[in-house]
Amino acid sequence: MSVAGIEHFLFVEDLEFLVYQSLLLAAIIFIYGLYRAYRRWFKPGERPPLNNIIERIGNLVRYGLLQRKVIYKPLEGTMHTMIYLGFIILLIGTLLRAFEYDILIRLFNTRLLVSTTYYIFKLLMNVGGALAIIGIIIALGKRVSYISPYLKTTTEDVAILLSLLYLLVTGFILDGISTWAYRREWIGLYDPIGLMIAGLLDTYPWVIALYRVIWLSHMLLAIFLVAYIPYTKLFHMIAGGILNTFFARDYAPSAFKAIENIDEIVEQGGVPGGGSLSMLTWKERMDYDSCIKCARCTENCPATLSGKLLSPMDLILDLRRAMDSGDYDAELVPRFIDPEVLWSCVTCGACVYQCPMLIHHVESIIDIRRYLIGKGENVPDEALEPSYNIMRYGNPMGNDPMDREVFLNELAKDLGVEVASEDIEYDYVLWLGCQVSYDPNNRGIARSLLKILRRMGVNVALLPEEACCGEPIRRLGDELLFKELVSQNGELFSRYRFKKLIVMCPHGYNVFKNEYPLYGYRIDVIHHSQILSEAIEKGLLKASGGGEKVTFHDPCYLGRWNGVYEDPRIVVRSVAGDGFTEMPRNRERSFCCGGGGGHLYFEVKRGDRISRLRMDEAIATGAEVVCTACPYCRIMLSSEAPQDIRVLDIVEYLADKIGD
Amino acid sequence: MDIAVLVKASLDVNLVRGDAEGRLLKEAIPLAISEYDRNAVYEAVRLRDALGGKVYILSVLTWGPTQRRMRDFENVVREALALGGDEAHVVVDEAAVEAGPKATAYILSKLVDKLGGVGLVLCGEASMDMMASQVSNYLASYLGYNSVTFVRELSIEGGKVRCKRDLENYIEMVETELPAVISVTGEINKPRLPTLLQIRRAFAKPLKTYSLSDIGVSELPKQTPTKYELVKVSRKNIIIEGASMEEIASKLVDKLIEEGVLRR
Repeated sequence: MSVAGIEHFLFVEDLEFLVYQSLLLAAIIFIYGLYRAYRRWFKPGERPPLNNIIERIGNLVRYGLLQRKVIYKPLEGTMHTMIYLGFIILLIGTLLRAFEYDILIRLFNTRLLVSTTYYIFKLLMNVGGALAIIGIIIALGKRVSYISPYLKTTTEDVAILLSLLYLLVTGFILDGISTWAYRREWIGLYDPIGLMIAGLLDTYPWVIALYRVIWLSHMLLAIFLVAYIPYTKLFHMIAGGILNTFFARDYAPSAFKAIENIDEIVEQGGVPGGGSLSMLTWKERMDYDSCIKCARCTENCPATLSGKLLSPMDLILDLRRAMDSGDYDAELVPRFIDPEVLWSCVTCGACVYQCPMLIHHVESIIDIRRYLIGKGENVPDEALEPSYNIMRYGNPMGNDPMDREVFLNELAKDLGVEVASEDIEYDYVLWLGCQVSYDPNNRGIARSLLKILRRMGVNVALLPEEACCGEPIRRLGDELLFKELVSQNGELFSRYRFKKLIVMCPHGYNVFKNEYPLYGYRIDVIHHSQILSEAIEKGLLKASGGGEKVTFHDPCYLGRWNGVYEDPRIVVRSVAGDGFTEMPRNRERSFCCGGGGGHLYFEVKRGDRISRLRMDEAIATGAEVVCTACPYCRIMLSSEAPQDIRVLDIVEYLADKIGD
Repeated sequence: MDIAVLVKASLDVNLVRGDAEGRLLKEAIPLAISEYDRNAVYEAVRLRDALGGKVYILSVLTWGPTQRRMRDFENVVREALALGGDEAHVVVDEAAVEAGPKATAYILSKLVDKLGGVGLVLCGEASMDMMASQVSNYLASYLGYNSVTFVRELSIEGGKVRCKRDLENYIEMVETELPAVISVTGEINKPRLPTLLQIRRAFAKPLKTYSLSDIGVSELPKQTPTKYELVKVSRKNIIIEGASMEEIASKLVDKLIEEGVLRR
């Protein structure tokens, strides 16, 4: 050869045919695997949607190709990026090599990988191989050292890692022998690892036989490892990384899917919700095959960390096992899933936030809960109370609705707040919500907020009546009643004229903002932290005082589910200044108070109380005041607070320091 | 064996309304299913599932004005059907309003006759609003059935019913022949709360409304109450604080002794 380039099929010309025969067989195995997966996800007649194509490609690039959520964890992110990047380089290099040999040389008698191109190619292949080897060693080390107690290691995990390592090491050995054979003189430092291996080979006459054996094993393992991707954990690349990111849900992650035809289902004697695999959606089924068992969900799940039965990863894998059984019409509970697992979820969304594959664990949990509630079986007795109380009293606690009226009159009398009239237009209507209307300890939130809004001259009124917003029972799975409450409240809103609805409870905020639209009602809604932070930024509200140490607990439905992290902090900092301190788990990584998912109304008595764990974390910061921005969190944390720590809503804390 | 269950639309004791003078504002209080009647329905459903037959829900609207109470009343009956009743037969008649337990029992006996008799009548030990515990005995005597009250456990075998009666200081075992009227206590079972889905389903079940003349009642043995009074009991609202659970507990015991609740 006159110029630098590849000698294709060196030493193995006679085995060339094996490559093509193996590839043919591998392609059949691979394609059948994809077809099998398609059949696992899609029922006859179901088709993957191709709407919002730009957004979908965006998700594929962000979460699939660029792996935004994989790299959040430093060690695991580095490990995965090295393997991912390494193999991408090796894959492209191998494809280029095949392209040169099978297309360019055969058809056009020309070459691509020559001279400078070849030198760059060779160097990049060295880098790719080295990156992947280091990545795999980190991965093996992590598995051996049990860095995460929730990361379970199976034979498959080790076998796959060792197979990849074998491919990489043998790749370098083959490279070294080739260098030894024909390019030692001119390759220089463009093949550093190959050159190093070539240096060791000088005295070995049986090198060619060794090459042939290693080449055969390398080639067959590489081809069949690819062929078996759809059958092993490697499938996460396609199911999770490509398909599940591309087909990600196009509604807000906190807007759990609606059942539009729920009335029909009930009329026809059916039970709504996910009772069996066939009652779930293709997206949920695709989720189950996307899991790569990285355990990030479980490591961050408050239920798991407090010793409950739920581990989001195991739940997803149990559902995958249900798919493996092939029985799509069998009831999932209790055959595949213990009902207590489902009832342990506080719907905080830590799992959903963590999942690099965009799996929505909570949607499946709520979907299956819907079925259990509909059947009335495998449901804790107390979990049925909120629905019953709403039907009978209009609020989930079963309080006398007259209590709200009395409170409303107090607010009107003490603070001069208007009760909305249908003929007048207001800038804002303040939604009190059940927890603020009825819980005497939470009523201060409304008093404080109204006091501040009045002082700012905000045109705000209260509604003479409110039905429950339906949030707790939606999380518990009573979709039928939720839909009814949506139309009740939708009708109520349509009677009054206002620009925005202020909501003090993030549960109400989320449900109005993201879930009412699913049933056709759009309301412009704002959380009180947002209106306060805006006023503070504009200099309309000035607090003085502080001096004490204050921390802030992110409510899941304000923070993680809706991305409102800064507004409440602006409010707290405006008072506390330097006294403000963060808990170790904050913002996206915040830890639930334990009151979400209907858990304010019933308790799964196992392990620790989630509220206790969170309060301990707050205590450890040395804070004298724990602020939150949610009546649920306020109840849960207050019940765990020692006497010298005050748990307050941000607006109570602010009002305290503004004076009258 | 067909079972009839008596279900009362009681004044909701959680939503008692009164005026400043202590008068009870009966008409402002919504109606709700009487607490123990749910236990009775649940027990009837259990027996039906084991023995076969039908569960009839029987009710008389005893709070007026009937026109304005109809929605609440129907909700109560649907709730009983949602708990598993098969069909409902109810009497709505202005003359039945506040006619007293004896008259109510008389009307119910005629309703049972209209159904052609049943093997067993179940009801709650008392209604949650009046707490009179009279209807079951009156009804048994009108029908000529045996009567057992305050039953916390029952089993049926060969035309006989064996009951465990809860009598405050002791428990009595009773066996009697069917047909019988049996009142049950809250201990007999833990009824499940009905969901909206089950209530919607209950709309498909038959609900038949009768007037007094429909079931052949012309005259009622009325016992009209003369006066309702709102009694207000205020709580003492004492919060006991202490450093440890032991300290709080011993302070609580002292307090209870002081109040005469406990004796040394």
